[in-house]
Amino acid sequence: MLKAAIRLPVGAFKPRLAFSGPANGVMTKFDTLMTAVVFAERGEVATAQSILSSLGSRLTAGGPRSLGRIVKTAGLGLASAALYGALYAFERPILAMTAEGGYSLFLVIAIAFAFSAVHGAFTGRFWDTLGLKARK
Amino acid sequence: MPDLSGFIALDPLNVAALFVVGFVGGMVSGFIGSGGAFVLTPAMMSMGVPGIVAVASNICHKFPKALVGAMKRAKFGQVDVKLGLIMGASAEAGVLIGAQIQQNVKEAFGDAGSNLYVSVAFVIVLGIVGGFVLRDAWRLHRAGLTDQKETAGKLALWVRSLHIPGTMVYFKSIDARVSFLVTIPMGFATGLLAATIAVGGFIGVPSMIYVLGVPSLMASATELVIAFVMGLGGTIKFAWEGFVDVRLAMIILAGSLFGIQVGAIGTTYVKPYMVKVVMGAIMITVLFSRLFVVPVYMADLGLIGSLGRAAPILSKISFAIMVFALVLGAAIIGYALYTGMRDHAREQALKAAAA
Repeated sequence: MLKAAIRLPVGAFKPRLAFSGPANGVMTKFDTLMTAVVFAERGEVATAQSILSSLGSRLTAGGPRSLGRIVKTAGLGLASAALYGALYAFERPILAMTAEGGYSLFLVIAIAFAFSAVHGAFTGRFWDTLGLKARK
Repeated sequence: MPDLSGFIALDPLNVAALFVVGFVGGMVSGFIGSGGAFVLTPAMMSMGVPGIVAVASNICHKFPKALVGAMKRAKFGQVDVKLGLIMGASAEAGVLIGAQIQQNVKEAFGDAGSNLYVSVAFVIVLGIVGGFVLRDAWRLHRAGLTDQKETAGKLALWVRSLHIPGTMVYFKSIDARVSFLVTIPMGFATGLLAATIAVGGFIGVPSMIYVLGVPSLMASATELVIAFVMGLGGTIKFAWEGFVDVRLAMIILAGSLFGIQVGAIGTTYVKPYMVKVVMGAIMITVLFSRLFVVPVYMADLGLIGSLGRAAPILSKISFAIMVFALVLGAAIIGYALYTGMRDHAREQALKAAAA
């Protein structure tokens, strides 16, 4: 009954998201794939390809969940993890130096800014990638 | 080799706890624009960190975090940079004097004295400010004015009517000119409090709201600019004396930078009076956490007799209430964000269907 009811021109299918949340994104993707399967089973290959290409274009375009952006976010995450790893490895010498006070304050400020820049960039992209956005 | 006895050992449990504490503190900070440290400082003290080290370490991670929060909220048009910088100048003076007082208390009375000083300051400030903020939010809710745009009160209107030649400055947040001299005591008190409990926003944010008539969301966002200015100055002062535990500061930062962005985004989905509800509810809870442990510090200083077995019980109660405050903050903000986003999604879906 579903197959008989659906008749769309090639390229007309454009999934629309009212809310860009993680669960909604996964369900929409699943729904899109199943719709493409339905058209493919009916022999309407061009329509199925059009549906799949719209899904694929979201994966490669420069949107929040594009592959390039995900890779950049992961890279920043690794950089942040490396900084924290270094802090853990050199915990005692750093603590001894900063506890002395004096000009070690520049080390404290440098550490604060370095961690904030790298980790701040990572966390900003992290929520964006997951689809958590401000209300416009 | 410097004395490291004032710095706690970090085991996996402490690290995990600090991360979670940082996340909730950051969420609260991003949401109400100030006072993430009012859960962070007591939480760190509940873990055994001396008061002055807790304050110093929170100031250290706060200033870059405040910069991130201010930049994020500036994108939503919520920051009055000029007001933030002008108040920041007088706040810096307050920070330097407050930090010196902290140091004098520590040298004269040791860790117990520092803890008592910070805790008493918390109880007084949280009681006054928390009470006012909750009363205000309750009045708005009762009057059914939660959706209405906030307007300036009588005090703010009187302040705006003052005209002191040569000192008048236009601020976009109130769309009016006021004398910058009015901001000096506001900023100085903010800095003094920041150096005492690592939270200047308890004076900064309400003073902007009630003295200048700045809307809540803009006051909380603008305070982040003041926090950055104060934080940098306070860090320089405390780090020079060797009181900053950069390990604690960076672990808290790790969690709070995740949380602050959630809190900042959450402000765009809630009604303005919700900021006051969250602020007031958490303040009163943290007040009780500190109140329970004040007798313990007094007994340590010999101001009252020994508490015997009651001392560890009071400390545990204080810690439990602190955990409850963190859970309460996360729950209120999380629920407000969830319902706000759900309602917005429904609106968008209805618009899309109607189109």
